[in-house]
Amino acid sequence: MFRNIFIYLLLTLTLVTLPGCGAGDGQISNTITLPTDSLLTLYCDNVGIYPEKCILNDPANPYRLVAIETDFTKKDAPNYVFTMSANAPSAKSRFYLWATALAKTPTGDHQFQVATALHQLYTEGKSNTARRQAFKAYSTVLGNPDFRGSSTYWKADWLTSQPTYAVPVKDLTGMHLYDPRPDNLLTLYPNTITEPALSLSQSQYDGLQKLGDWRCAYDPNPNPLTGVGTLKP
Amino acid sequence: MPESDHIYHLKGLFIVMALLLLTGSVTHATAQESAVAATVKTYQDNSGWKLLVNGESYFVKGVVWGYTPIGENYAYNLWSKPDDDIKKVLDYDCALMKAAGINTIRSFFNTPPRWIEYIYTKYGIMTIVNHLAGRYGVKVDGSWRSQTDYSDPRTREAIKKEVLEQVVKFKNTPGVLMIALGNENNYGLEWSSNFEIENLPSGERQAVKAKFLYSMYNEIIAEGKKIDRDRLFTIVNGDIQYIDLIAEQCKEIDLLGVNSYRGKSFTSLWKDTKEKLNKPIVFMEFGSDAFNSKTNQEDQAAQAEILKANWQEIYSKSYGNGAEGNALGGTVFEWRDEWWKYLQTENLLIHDKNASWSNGGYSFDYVAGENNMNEEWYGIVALERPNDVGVSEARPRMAYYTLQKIFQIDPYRQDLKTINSSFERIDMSSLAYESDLRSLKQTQTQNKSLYLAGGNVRMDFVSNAKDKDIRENGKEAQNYSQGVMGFLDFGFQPSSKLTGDFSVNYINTIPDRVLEEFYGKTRNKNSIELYNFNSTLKTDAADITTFYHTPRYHWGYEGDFYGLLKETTDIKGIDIWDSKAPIGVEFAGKKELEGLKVLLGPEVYWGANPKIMAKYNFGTGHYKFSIMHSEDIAKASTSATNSAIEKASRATTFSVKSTVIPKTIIEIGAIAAASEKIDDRYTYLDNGNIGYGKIEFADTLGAKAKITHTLTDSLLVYAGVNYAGLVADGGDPLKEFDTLLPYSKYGNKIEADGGVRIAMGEYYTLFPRVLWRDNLKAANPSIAASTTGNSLYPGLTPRNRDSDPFAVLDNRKALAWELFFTYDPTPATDFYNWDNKNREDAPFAFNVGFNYTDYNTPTDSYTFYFKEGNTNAAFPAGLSEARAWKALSRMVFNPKPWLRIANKVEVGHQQSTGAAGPARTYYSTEFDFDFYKRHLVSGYIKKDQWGPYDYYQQFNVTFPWQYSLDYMYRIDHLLQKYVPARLGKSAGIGITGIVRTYDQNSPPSDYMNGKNDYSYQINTYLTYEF
Repeated sequence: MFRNIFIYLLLTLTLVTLPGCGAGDGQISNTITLPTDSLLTLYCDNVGIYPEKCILNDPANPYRLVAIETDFTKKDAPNYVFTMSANAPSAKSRFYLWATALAKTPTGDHQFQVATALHQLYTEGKSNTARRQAFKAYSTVLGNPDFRGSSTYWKADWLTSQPTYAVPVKDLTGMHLYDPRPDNLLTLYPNTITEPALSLSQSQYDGLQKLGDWRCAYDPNPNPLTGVGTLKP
Repeated sequence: MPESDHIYHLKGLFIVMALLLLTGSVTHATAQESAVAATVKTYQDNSGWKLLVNGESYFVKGVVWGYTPIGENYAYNLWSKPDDDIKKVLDYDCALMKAAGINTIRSFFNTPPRWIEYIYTKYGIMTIVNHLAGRYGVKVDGSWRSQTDYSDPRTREAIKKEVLEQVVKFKNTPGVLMIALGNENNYGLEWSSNFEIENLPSGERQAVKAKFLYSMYNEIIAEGKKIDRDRLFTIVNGDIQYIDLIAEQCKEIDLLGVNSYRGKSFTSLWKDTKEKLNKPIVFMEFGSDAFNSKTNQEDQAAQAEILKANWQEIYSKSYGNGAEGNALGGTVFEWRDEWWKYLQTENLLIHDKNASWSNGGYSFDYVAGENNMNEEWYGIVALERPNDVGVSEARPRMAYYTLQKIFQIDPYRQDLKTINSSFERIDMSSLAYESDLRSLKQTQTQNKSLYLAGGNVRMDFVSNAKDKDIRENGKEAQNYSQGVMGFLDFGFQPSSKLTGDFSVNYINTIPDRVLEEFYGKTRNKNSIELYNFNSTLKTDAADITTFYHTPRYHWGYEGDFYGLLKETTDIKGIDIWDSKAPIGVEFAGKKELEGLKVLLGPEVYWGANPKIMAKYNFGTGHYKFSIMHSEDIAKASTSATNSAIEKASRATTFSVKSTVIPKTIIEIGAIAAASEKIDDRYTYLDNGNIGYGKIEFADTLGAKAKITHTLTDSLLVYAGVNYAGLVADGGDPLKEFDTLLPYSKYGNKIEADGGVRIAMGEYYTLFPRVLWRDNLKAANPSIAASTTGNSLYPGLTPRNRDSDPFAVLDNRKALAWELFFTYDPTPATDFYNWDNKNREDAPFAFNVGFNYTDYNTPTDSYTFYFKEGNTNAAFPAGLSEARAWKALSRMVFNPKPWLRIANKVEVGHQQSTGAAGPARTYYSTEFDFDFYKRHLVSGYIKKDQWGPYDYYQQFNVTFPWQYSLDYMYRIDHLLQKYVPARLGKSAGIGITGIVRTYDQNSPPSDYMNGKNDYSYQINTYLTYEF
């Protein structure tokens, strides 16, 4: 009898006390300071590279718990990812933003934007880590069958009724590896050639070589609509 | 031939004819005599006891008789059928019984007197009429009490009144041998009494209660004898338990009716009864099952051997044979098998091989620690499917033929030596050989490695069109298609320990039934697939069941207080998605592992992740404990429907159920769930500020309790509380009596619920219930993020279960109440049983229910499965606040034996289950008409309601009008109910029409911006089972 009463008491006590546990208040924060430096610290080896999602646990990621709208049909929303990207103060912020978007909604576009942000980081600080991660990201854009066919959106001012125009991310990736100057990015294949024209040719050649390693070929002749070349399988 | 020889032969012929005439006149005279009620007495002298019917010695050579076809259960009532049908059954059974020499049946009080008379006058078989005297409950003052309290004066009075009314009813009925009260009521003295009695040690407590039982019997019998002095009165006792009490309290009984299962011998029963009671004995039940639990096979010989030994002992203990002389015969349990005995409302189409209890007296299949008594296999004839005239056939077992031999022996015309030698002359080897031959010929399914058990063919011819296309292109727009598919059903039993079955489906062509989801639509033409598979391997340590797309039941009644194991019984509903759930293996422990169950598989219930579950039950008496763990091994790779795939998780529960307080059930449980989410981050709104939280250990915990108390016989109250931390998700709560209260499996809540079930009069029930719930963390509103310089205002979006550790969904804050009113004049067919629509036998039964739920907060975002991307996706917004309500009524009519109508009417104002959008107010009715069990008309009319499948409500897609009308002519209505529950209707030819109209809330591809008003589909079909 005593044992039974004890069990009842124990369970009742648990029942009564449990509501006091848990759901405790956490940290309040209405302002997050976005990073403006170019130092990239990797939270895990493949941070920002699909399918790795460790970015969501990275305490340095200011966007990990932020509302981000990735649905293109809601592009007027204030938290629309492209708007937030445009408002982000640094390449590093954009990297965190797009890597978060990628982890939550994996698309080829998001992976390409991560790659571009890493490319920008390299452009800003010439960090080898950023360069290495950018290669991984571009490689994933082209290597993942679900990503390879993705398109991003390119503002086409001359089409007033259709203010956006889809551009295949594979073509943009090809352009970024071949000659990223139109996007104000440095080549990912620096060389020591002092003659600018020769140096550029060497970089373009190295880019094509890299794409070849990935079983791709890039035709740099601009497509009249997109203004970039065409990447072929 | 010489003339004298002619004369001699003519004389002989004359004598024979004269004898025949004489015999005929005597038979006629006997029939005349039997048209009046017989006088039945007991007789005693120094040689023992005898039963005298109209002064003649009568030895009871009987069986317990009943008639429950395959697919039916205890609720089946033969006597409610048309006279012609009853007559066919009685003629079939009684002819067989008479051929075996059976002269008595034990049957229940609901047998109408005219049929008792019919059985007697036509077949000479007398009936022991048995009133259960509250064994399985009693109606007192208009309310039903499931636990009969024999100490309660009102209860005693109610039982007495009912029995005596029946005694009056049967008083002049020819064929009544005796009135018997109860059915092992001494084993059911479970009522909660006053503390004075309850505090006695168990044995004494039961004895005190038994005293009330036997004194009640005595009162009733004393009164009964005043009404009918020509019948005998007895009780049906469980063995000779409380024989001293019976002698003391029950002096009015004429003889002792006993149910006894002691194996081959009744051992000291004769002597004990003579010494302590000195009354003769009629066995009301005895015998053996015909199933060997060791070999997992039918064992006709074992049953026959035991019955032979039993009868030989009964004969030897009868009058004039030198022993106690107190045996008057008995009724063997039982005439036919009853396929409903195991689980009672489930597996009614399956002849279950599960043993329910253990009895060491039956050495042929007894193994210590294991059950060996197979309740569904006691028939001396096996239950078969109906014959051409609709009577379930009876396949005599070896026991039948053994009894046929035994009943030729007259105990009063032979001495003991002759009786024993007659028994010895019964050649059991020969009977066994004949039995084996019959089995081989008749079943051809036993002991076979693999056999074809049956099959099905279905053909569809479908035409459909959109209104727009018809207007634009005329009849050319009409689409035509056809479908042909078939099933082959196989069974296998490669060894005595392993049995199973499976079906293979072949699809030849696939019809284009655009307005429906249906089985096979995603398959290729000319393809074959394994449709289902089920097998059981019996080992010494456990029964191992492998299941693939076969129904599985929850563990809610065996300790799963949190409902972690969901039920998967709607195979037809799963078929339309071409899914093969449930799939898995179950281990059910035995002996030392009794109480342990382990279940694992890729989808052990519909929608489950690959997981392993283990449950251990322990405790006895007033305390039953259960501990359970569920662990997802991985996240499912795909979903067959639009339901999102849940993240892999885990849960552990502990619960105790106590009945220590009289008339009260207390259940207490605790849960620890989703520990993998500890340290996961989440956001919330805190007084306008954005808050960040982290899942702590305490957020994985929960506890709940429920108390159910029977206040009075007509009043049952219950109350429950449930606290669940943010991620302490349980499973499907056990929903009873069709409640519409918005229970949820998710955590993040504190909840209280309660209700009062009020029985009003004999047939009416009122059941008000209420639920209140609040969230520990409310849903997130949508607040835009913004960036200014290097400052980010993070904003908020509704959480979803894919990206966040928890979300507020159907576990949202709610205040709900509801009221259900039920009228059911035949409580045996419980109105809230899952299959009541098909089983309700009342001329008219109905319920009316109303639920109102105030959701005064919004939800987070629901998720759905996006097939094209093979990924989950979240709806952009949650559901808004709402005041939802629903009113419904279900009715069943049985106005004539040839007509049955089931109808459901529903009106509601409800929200979607996923996509944000306005709540919809809708109306609907569904109906089924069954004429002559041959013509079936069914359909529905719905206004402004979601489409027929879950995803319509998930995406808030409604139609202005939906109509469906189906007519089916059953090709073979007898076979109809015996086929597996696959693809709905079977064995018929029919036509179905579906029409849907469209508006802006309908699918855009159908509405076409207002260009298309409606679509229709006509499907003619033929299905046949073989």
